Amino acid sequence: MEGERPGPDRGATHRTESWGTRIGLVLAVAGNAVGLGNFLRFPAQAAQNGGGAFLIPYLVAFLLMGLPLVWVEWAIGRHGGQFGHHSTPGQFDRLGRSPWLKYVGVFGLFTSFTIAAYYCYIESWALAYVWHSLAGTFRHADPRLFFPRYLGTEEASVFALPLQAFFWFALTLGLNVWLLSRGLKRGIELAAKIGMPLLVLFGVVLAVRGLLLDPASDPGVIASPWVGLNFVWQPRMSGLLDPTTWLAAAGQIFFTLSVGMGSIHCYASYLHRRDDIALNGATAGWMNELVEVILGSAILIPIATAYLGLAATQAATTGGSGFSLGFLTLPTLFQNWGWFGPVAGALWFGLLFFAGITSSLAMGQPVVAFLQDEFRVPRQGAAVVFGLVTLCLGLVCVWLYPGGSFDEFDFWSGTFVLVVFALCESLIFAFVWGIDRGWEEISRGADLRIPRIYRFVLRYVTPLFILLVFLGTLVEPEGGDWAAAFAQLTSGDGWNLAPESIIGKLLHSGDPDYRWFTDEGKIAVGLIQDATRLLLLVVFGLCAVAVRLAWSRKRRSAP
Amino acid sequence: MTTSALLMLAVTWASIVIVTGRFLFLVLTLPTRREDEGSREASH
Repeated sequence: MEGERPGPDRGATHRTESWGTRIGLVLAVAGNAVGLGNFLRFPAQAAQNGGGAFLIPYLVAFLLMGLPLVWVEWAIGRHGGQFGHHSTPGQFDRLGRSPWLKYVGVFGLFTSFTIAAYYCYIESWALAYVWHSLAGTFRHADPRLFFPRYLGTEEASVFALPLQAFFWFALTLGLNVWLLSRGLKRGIELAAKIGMPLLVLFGVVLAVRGLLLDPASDPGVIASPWVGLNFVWQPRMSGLLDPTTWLAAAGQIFFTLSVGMGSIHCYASYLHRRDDIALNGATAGWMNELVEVILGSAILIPIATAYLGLAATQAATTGGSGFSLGFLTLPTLFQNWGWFGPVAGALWFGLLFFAGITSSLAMGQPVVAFLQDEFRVPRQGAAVVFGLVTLCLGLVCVWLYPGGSFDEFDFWSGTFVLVVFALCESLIFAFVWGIDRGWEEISRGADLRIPRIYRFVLRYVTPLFILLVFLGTLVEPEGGDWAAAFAQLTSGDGWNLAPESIIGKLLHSGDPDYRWFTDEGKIAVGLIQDATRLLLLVVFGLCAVAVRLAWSRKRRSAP
Repeated sequence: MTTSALLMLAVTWASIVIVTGRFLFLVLTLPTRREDEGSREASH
């Protein structure tokens, strides 16, 4: 029993901060989930994987994996918060007797630092593009040439020194630190209460304007935007028999809800033990779906199709990402909208910025809470520490962007570790803490009666789903074609690994010219990639050391 | 748009709007547990 366990904070109920309003908390958690992927990744994934039929595995994955995992994280977070732990190491420590449980929580700290490092960089692009849209930069500059110049990737080098990009990155990070230092109510909750309604408003304005484009009267429009909407929603039922569609849907649900990060745990930990988590968690999750499925599908692809035609839009979304359409194409297309063009650009990138900042704040808060709880660092100081560490890690992404550092951060922290952590927490919840205690925690104070079938789902189905996502990422076949890969395997020709799979990444299989130095003795991409992986391992080790130090301090100060 | 795409879109969007709207309504109208306790204490 947790209460019998010795420990300096046994039975303590530290209540340093709390949410101002219930809707503020729900908006903050929804804001954490709503990110750039809602607008750039979802429509491309849906269009490439069965169109409207994609929504069937997508919603199945939401109900059987996404939503249960959200409840697991809310439950672990609120439970840990009763013992004064607002970050995952302390919260996991409270789930059982084993001392290693707190080290599982290190994943939550690690992802906060390392994802924030590159995510704030993307967020800063959106902020910079708001400025450039309003300043009319894209009237004269082609975004396809502007973007590489902005990132400093024009030269054939593994290094970049983009001063403008660095300025916007520092500004974005500074804004995050300032909001974090203001606390839950005056910082994070306020940002969510302002950012989320504005995000929805901007999205609605752009969707309505985009869908009203008419080839007969609007200059530059060559097709109806409804053709684009049809492209996203036309159900191709054959896709349902393809495992690729199911894995893509499960992956999209997993990454859109921002689970496996330590952010939801942190936000839930500021609740009272009898506050509802069932309804709050479900509402935040469904709000994310509302933004993703409705606004996400109604802006990017319809507008791009109207101006580029369906074939070009299809080609631009191959691979399941709408990033190039969003950052390289849309700024040009908005120029056709006359006086409204700069405003539309500002709305689009403002929407992406709000989606980004509500997520990056959720990455910062667990670190701030860890330093406050375990090292008694004041909030402002903790926010500055988060900012400085993120700045240092972010600079690696900025400086070594052409060498692939950014992509390494994105893959290992933003994909691999998230799935591993989610798998660990779902198993610990069901089998270490125990489904009885876990279910009791979710049900206590609930304003929403969760069907009892979810006890079974939480125990077996959710971990199995996450395991499938993990295995799918681990050995993803070339081109994502599972049927062809299995046929090849059964015919004795082995397994054709995709370079984007975990094993493919580990073995650098996507780079036949993998090496550390060029023939001229210069640093090659291989060295940057391996050095970045080493850096990530060091950061993980340092987070583990910080946890160990915190618990040593507690033991020493225990009466 | 084709009928099947329109049908898929309409059913999905309507379901999401109805569920999210219902949950949001509950979040906005139901008191939190703490407020409940606070108001009970105040009334005593």
